[in-house]
Amino acid sequence: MLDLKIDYESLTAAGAMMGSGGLVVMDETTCMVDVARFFLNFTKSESCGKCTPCREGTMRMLEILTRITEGEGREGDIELLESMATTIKAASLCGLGQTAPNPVLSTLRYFRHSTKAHIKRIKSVPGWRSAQNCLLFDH
Amino acid sequence: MDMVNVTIDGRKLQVPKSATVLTAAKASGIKVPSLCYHPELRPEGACRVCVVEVEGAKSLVASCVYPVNEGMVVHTNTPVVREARKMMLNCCWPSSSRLSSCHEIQIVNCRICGGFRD
Repeated sequence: MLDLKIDYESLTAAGAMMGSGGLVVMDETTCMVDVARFFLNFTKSESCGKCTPCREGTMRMLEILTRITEGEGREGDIELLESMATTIKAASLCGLGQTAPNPVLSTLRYFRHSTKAHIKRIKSVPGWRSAQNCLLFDH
Repeated sequence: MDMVNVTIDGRKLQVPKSATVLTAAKASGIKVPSLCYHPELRPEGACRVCVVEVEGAKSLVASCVYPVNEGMVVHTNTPVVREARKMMLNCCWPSSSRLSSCHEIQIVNCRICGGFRD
């Protein structure tokens, strides 16, 4: 991923987008489930509320992700998030809803093990350290 | 009146140029479920329950606001469309997402999911 080219096509293929051209640098102590929740919270707030998938769908997805970050994740949550994300992308009216689920889909693509660990509340995932404010942080 | 040729669910139709996909489908007896659409009101395309697949379109389109084009090919009852409609209703339905699933309350000829009990 470090060798990823910064152009429209390469970023789209990786599940990201150019946006304002900004980069956020994180290390292995960042909780990726919380990052997905953070970005979804942003798009939920930005939704104008006109169409159902963006207004209600991002809200429901945020509820599920918040549950997972609080240790209340359930079996099937990942599949539900993926199916909702696909539908929201396909059925939303504008670009906001059509891209809103992307951070969730790409974190599930690259950090699925981390989301699974949150749901199963497994504290040690090989090669991955949990963030200080994350429920999996070993206190 | 100017007419255009469209294909909806494999049926070749001639419809007025001013029609939307929803009115064209309804006029020819193809049922497309809708929620926020009302013939006396200006169409909004907000609820997305009437989404359909249009060949060549980037995403699903709301048929109540989508104008017909010459040669347009529309599919109103594909798995993707049914899944989207079900999610729209599940999201709109207050407090209990389970109630709106026709599979759970055993409606066989459901217009939203196309009457399939898979």
